[in-house]
Amino acid sequence: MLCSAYAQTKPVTGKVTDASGNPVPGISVTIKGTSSGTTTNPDGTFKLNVPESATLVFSGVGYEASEMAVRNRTVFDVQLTTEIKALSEVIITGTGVATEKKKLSIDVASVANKDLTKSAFLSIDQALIGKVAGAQIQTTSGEPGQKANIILRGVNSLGSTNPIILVDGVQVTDINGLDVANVDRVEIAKGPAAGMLYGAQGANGVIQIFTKKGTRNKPISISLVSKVSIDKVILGKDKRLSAKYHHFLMDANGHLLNRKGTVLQPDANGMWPEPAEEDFNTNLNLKNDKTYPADLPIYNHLEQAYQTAVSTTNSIGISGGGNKSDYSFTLSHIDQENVLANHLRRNNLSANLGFELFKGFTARNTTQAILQDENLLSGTYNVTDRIKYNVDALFEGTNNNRFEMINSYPWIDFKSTYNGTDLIVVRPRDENQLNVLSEPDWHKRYSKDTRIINNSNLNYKFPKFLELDFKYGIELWNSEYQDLYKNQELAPQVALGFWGPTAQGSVRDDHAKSTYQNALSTIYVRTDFSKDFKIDLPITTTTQLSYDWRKLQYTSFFSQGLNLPQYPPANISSGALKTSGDGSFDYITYGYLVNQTIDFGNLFGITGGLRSDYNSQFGDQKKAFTFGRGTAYFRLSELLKANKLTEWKLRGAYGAAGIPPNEFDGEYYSRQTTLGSIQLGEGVGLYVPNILGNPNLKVQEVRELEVGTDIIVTPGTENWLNRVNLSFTYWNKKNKDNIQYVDLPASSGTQQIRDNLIDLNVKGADVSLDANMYTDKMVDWTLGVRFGTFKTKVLKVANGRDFVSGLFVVKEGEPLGNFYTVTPLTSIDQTRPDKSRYIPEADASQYEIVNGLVVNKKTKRATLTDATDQRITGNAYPDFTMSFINSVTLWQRLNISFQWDWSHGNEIYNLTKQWMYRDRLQKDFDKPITVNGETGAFVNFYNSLYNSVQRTGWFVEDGSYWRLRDLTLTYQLGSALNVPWVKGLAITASGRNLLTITDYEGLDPEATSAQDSQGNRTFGAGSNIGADYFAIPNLRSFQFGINIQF
Amino acid sequence: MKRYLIYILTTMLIIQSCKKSTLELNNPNEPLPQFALPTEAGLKNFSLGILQKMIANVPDEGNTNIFHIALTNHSILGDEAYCPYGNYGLRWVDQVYKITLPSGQVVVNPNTVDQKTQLKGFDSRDAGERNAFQYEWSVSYYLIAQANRLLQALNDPTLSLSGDAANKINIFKAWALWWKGYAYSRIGSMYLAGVITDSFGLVNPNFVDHTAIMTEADKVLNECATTLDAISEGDDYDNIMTAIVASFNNNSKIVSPAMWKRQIYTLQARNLLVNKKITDMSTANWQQIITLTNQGIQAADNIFWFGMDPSGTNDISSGFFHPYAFIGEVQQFTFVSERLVQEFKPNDKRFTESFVLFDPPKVNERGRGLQFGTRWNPVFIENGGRYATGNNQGLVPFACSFEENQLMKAEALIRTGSTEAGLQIVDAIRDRQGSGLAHVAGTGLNATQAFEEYRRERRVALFLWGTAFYDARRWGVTKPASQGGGRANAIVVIPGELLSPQQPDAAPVPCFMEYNYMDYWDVPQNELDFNAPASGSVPLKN
Repeated sequence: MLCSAYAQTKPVTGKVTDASGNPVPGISVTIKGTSSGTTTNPDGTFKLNVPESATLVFSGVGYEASEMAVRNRTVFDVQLTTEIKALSEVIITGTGVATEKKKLSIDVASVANKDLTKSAFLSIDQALIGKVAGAQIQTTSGEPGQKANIILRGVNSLGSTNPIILVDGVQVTDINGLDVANVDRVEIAKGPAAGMLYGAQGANGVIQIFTKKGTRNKPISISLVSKVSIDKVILGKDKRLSAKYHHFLMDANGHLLNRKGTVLQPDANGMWPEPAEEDFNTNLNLKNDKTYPADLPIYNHLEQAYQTAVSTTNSIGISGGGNKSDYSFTLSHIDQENVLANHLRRNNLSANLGFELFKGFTARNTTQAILQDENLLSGTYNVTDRIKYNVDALFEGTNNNRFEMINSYPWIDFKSTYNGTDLIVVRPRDENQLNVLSEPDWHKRYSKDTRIINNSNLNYKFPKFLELDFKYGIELWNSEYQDLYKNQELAPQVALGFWGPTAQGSVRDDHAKSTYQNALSTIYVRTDFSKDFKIDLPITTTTQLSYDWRKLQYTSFFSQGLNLPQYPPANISSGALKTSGDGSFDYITYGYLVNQTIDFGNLFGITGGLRSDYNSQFGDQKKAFTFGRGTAYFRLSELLKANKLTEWKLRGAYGAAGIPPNEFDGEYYSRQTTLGSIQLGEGVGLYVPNILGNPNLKVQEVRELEVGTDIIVTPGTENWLNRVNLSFTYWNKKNKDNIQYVDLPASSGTQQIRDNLIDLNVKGADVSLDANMYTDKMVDWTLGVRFGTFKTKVLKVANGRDFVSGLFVVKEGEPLGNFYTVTPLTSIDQTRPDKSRYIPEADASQYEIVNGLVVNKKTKRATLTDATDQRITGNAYPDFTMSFINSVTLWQRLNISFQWDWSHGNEIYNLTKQWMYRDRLQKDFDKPITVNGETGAFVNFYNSLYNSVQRTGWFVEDGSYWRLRDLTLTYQLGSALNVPWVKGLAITASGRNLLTITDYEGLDPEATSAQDSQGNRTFGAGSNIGADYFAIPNLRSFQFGINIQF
Repeated sequence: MKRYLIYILTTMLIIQSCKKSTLELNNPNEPLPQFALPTEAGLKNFSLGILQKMIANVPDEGNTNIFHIALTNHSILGDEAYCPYGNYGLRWVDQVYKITLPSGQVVVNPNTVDQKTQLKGFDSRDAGERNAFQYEWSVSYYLIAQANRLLQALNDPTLSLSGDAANKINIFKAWALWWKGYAYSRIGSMYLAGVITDSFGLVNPNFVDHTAIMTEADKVLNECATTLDAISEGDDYDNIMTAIVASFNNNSKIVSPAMWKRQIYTLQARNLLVNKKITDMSTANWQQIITLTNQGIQAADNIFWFGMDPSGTNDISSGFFHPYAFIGEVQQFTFVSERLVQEFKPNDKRFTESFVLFDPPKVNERGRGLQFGTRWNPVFIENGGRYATGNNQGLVPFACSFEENQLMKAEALIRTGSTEAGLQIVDAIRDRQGSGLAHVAGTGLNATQAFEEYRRERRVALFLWGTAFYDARRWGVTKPASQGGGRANAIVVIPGELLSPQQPDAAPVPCFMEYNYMDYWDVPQNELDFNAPASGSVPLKN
């Protein structure tokens, strides 16, 4: 057929523009009745050979299709009109039934590649920040490769909040590491009503990533993207946390003194003794008001700790398609530097190949190979993520922070070296902390990850009724880690400190291998009453029957050589003492899904279904757990046919889904009580574990009801507000049988047991608004607003007893994320719970209220409530999060887009500040107060609030912030270059996190996480976020990029 | 072709089904008790593993050797060491109430309350790791739990042991009873009350007072001694003992059944001695001490030690949870107290070889109290010192030592009029530890002087070995000053600006220290939150 047509062809050219005259790239130009054709270039132009008899069809997402007969024309200037009903967009659910958006009765957010944040090139989660209403995505650290904390529609359990991640319809274990460049679209199903379709464990929601596909009958298209990013950590308003003044003892010449009364100076190895501090216990009026001597160099440790890093990314995409096939290849390389000049490097190679083997039978295979290596000294988070057994204790603690630098005297130079060497002083301060900047001299580490994700899909659509679909995905992931601590026996301060487990050095290799398989078989039965049964009703139905099987297998082992020689090589074989260990687990779940959809024309529709699954993680594994769902929509706009109301849909959905026990604490087999095992000297010790297994553990269940509405109005003129799209969803979740650690009395012999003993209620609302604000030939301005809010209430906890989750206590009847703390007294007659006065009436005259706190007039000290009298002083979760996304295109060439993110009403526990109170070095100590008529920066006042890093209300701060997440300028040079083989050229300049507006006094209100007071990472919804513990702040980046299309 | 592909697809849809049996996965990493414990190897490993019960997951602190925290509490309560840091509540445990300077100026600690008020304020789960009450309590009951589980395993009908099974069972039984008796001894000597529990996993709400706990300790220790009587020494014994004592706890020097029994007698003597005020000790009590110590540890006996692995791994110290590592200059968690240093007599080699000056001295550390200061930096064992290490050296007794046995006997002798015999023991201990000091026996000391010689030697000889608080309590030092407690002429390093006249440098001066500590600690609220006492129980709180 094509051959005969070809004989009479002629070349035609053309340009496709939109209503305001902007060129529209990516419009499909096809010959009517065939599948051959092309797509428009970035400047809207196209070239094609067509028969004179043909008719060209111009179509593209968001535009009304248009047809033009060729006849004798050779040049086509086509203006497409915006498709008012952009609702024909199809939400392609990975497991469920592909559905037009207008017929969807659940709230599924879809973010196309072009809408992903341009300045986030490392990970998909970062690129999604602020894009989805109800998705709280927070990057808690500026560390390369660090995972974002993703919370979809509130906290569902005390364990992980991580949603299921699907790539092209099959599950993978981690969103981190996936290539941003090959993402076509991301769909986010936020709650169990939608999520259960994708897995019985879908209670935390689902993030589905669809990778770029080629287009059939499209010539080869190549695009190159190259970017460089210059990153600096966010250091807050005045770039310091330390006080400018001091209260140390000085001699007559203004020199600081040590406790022998001589001038403070470091010893021969560069270690500073403690200074003589004026005694505030006896000198109650001591003020922090002395200036440092001019001849004593003062260092800004934040600036010493964090340096500028330069990162690059390059990617090449090749796509196209033949008659019965399509292809897309993406190759990306990322090299991200961190503040210690170490790197994270990643190569992603993706291929997406589709074939139509014969009519109705398609086969598709997508592969993504991810090769990542990093040598970040602070990359231990990565180790603890992948290594699940025999984790080196060195990696579990405070290894990845700058505690010892930031919490130190300003005269200590953390870059000072031992005399006559270029080795940095390991212990510049006389305490049991090492200088993190000396670590690179003695510690080398790397990790290498090889991860291959392959998804295969066979699909056959019978001519009528039936469709068979089979998907099989496999994720192979190999990780290897090496940590080398050199022999330090000859190091100058070895007796006082060394890096690693022993001064003689060690080398440790960890290997982990995991295989995740997901097979999904589906039969769809479709009917159309009018077509198939000749019944005059506009009823269509789809019945889905799926069988879903998933299996995760994991093994890890390590070996370590200790006591290395002082000569090379430093390997395990050369270690005088060797240890090793291993661990493994399997995890299986399988079950079936039945789902029935019935649509009545475009007016209304209902779906209902159930999912029944077995899981190796709980109970006796013999009983399935079964969840149901039901949804309905009604499109009022079909009835109203109002002029300016294009769409009005009401929708509601109910669904339940589960969270398996291992999502609580990452431990598998927690239904069994096994004996713990530990290497003790030359033997192996067995012991009754501190945390008991529980054979009765059940799946944690979330039941969700969501109701919402989608409205599209065209209220404005041709230029102003010609389209406004509003979507609102209210949701309410009951979370039953959440697992918690239940404390046991020590006399029972164990510490805790896991049990399904907590119930939560989570409710909230998500709102999205998209508007074409102004459109003409010169200007095109669009606005997107995203809003999400939720509240979590603890309905029930075990035995009615409070429990500690992370930093804070969780109590029945209260919201999750509360900060329970002792608080400074705010009234002189304040009483304890037992009604006894904190300050006896007789002593009341010795106190006064200063800045809202009760302060003793003589001692200048504040008084704190008892540890047994704690109250709520904040909550880690915001009242709401909001984003404003603006995009303005000028002269059809210059695009300016920016995104503001707003988090409002959350508090942060500023543990960093509290720790800096320890040595009375925090900048608060400079702030004068007035006590008993005297004004001064009284040391006793601030010191009395320190409270040994116990949770104290004083350190709870408003964590609200506005952040200019992204500002991107793109200039389309188009074909201006006049190089025939370059179809498009664009240059971009962008900034990420350029501006933050906040009252928060720490470095970065976003860089918070669940940390205990000693910096150990904890899990637990009570403090999933909310503590600022010396985290590496997020990066402020300036980026420059070039994008070339061939 | 088409047909085959459709067949293939259909087949894949159908065959992808699973058996439920694939779900029955057992933990491949750790043994199930029913498989491990009926074997000799399992019993050996489980016996060795009792050491792991000293490690617990402490909120905010991660895995911690809480047994060591208990030892540290005893050392700082007894003012042989001090700890200025808040971790594990340590800085409030040695919160001296008042220090009176030579000028007469009274300095109250910066928290302004006594230790009892302070520690009781932290007695909640909310206070997390700062609740000092929880450590010795928890570790003792964890030890008891593992011991009970071991005893239960020995009665398991599926137990299969080769050779002289009865003898082997007795060895394991003695081990379980020893630790159980030891743990009850600790509970009864430290807490107002406790519970007696003979089954792993059961909660007993019947709290009994500490004397009843000590009675139980005595009973279990006697049972242990009886079991030891039935054990025959030989290859089986040596083999099992080498396996159940950790290599880093010096398992090459095997504790024979007889030596083991002698440790029990010494521990029983300690239990008696430390739970009575010295003023309440009757002549009969002293005589009991003499009887028990005469049967107690002998000079050449091997005992159970707490050590560290030289490589810093695979032990229970996690690098610093050992008295000698904690006090060392690397960790600097604890420091030697000036009040201990002043007990050394001039030219005692144990002092001159083990301490050098800090330059400059530690003074009023972090402004947390004047007791938190010292001039003395311990020399590492690897460098010729005795009491500290930067490189995983040194052993301390888990329970009692030969020195403690002898010194208890010396105290009893001096108290019962045999001053010279007592002083001879003091001299012998000084010689044994290489002090190089001249003998005091035969120098005509009166009973008071002899007791002072003895008291100083006991403090020095048993430094960091777990008796300091017991002694301070029974000698009345930790009582409120109003009840005759406190210590006069206690050396404290005072900042120069507090001296009169003021001077630029800090100086050690004799002060009066009022400790004002509790005698026995409260049963921690962590226990009571989940084990509500049955009615009629004894007082649980100060």
